[in-house]
Amino acid sequence: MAARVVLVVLVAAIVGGATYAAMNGVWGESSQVISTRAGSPGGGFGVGGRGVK
Amino acid sequence: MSTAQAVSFNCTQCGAGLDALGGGRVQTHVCPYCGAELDAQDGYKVLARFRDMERPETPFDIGMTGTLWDVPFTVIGTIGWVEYHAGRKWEWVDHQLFSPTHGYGWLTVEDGHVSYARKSRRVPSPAGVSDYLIETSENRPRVKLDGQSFVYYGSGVAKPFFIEGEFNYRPTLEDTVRYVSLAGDGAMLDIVEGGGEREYELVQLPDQAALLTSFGVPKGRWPKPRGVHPLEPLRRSPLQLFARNLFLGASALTFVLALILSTFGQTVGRSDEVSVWWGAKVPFEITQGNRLTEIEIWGNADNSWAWFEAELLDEEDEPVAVFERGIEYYTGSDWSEGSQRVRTRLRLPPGRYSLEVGMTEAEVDWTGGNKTSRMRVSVTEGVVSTFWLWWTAVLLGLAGAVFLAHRVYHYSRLMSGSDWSDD
Repeated sequence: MAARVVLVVLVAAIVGGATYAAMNGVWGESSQVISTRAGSPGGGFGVGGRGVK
Repeated sequence: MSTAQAVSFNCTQCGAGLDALGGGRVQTHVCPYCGAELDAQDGYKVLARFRDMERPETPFDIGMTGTLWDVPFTVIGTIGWVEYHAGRKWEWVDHQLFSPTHGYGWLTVEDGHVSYARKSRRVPSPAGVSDYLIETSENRPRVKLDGQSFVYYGSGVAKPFFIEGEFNYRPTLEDTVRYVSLAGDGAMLDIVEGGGEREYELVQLPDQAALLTSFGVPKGRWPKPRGVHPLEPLRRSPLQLFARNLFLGASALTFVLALILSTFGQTVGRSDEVSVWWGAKVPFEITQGNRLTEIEIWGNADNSWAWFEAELLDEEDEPVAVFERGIEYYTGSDWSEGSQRVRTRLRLPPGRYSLEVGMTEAEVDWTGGNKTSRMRVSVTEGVVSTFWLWWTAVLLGLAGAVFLAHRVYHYSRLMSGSDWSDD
């Protein structure tokens, strides 16, 4: 029974994590975009939803 | 060890005391002491005498009783069989069984596996599988019996080298038997030809431990199985089945979720279809700052390519971001390559923006092409990165498929002892 619970929790965590990443657009930004704001480190938009500088 | 109640008599050849265990349809009784074959239907008159027989190895003795699927049986006879082919030799042992309620059957001990066979009065279709068909057929020959399909497993010609006990027919050491074994789901069908007759036997593989225990075989005499019996069931724990169903179910659910979420997104700005000489300007407002914004550029490229430059301005007309993207689209009579659309995704904080897009370069580099002349731009916010879900669905599906592959592997192992060759 414990093994089944662990499996269900594991699968639920995987699907839940994937849904969270999908909804929040993690790694979803196009690499071609270049931020032009002063102070930007350049290189577009990093992971974690920092947004345009 | 369990033994049956017997009617005793003396061998009419050597005088040894013998037990009659096999009921009224026993035809012959072969004395284990002198090898005399006695006519059980005619005062145990001596019919023949078998000499110098080498006793085969078997965990069963005549007189042992046990149950098969809750039916009591008694071991009444033993025949050792040998088959020679291509310089190789195979041996197995058949034990005739008798049940007062279910008649006669056979236990076969081969490669350490014990199977049970009973005669079938029903005739399969086709009724036989000839050597010619086996040699010339491109695929394994099949027969059908009661709607169940049986596929060719092996065939050969065997003869007895040891006979002892009671039988419901008259075996001799001169017999030769041609057999064809076909494997089905949970049972095998043996087509046995000998003495001008053809008989059909259905073979099952009982639970080995239960069978041996029931017949009182001491653990030290239990046969050691070699290889996989073609009827060996696929054993999977309930946890494995649970994991398989969980992975496949979660994969399907994630797939559906990805399909639904791929429709998410709200168009917040769209230009008209305009000439590329003018370019497109799209004002829009972002309210979902935690989500992705998608900018789609369309151009009517026709066997040509075009390059666009985009600049994004905030409400103070200060540049926020720039990017360049190209489209290329080629078609033939039955093919197409590339796309007239290109999508760019970025994350924008809430606020008002203005997007300016213009074509910077375009060229026709394919026969019959036309330069891009029209373009259109649209902006959608709240877009979902569904690739996370697609990959999760694939990985969970693969995890579930491992269990399905296990089943395929198991059935390939079951047929590994077959003498069939695709050549």
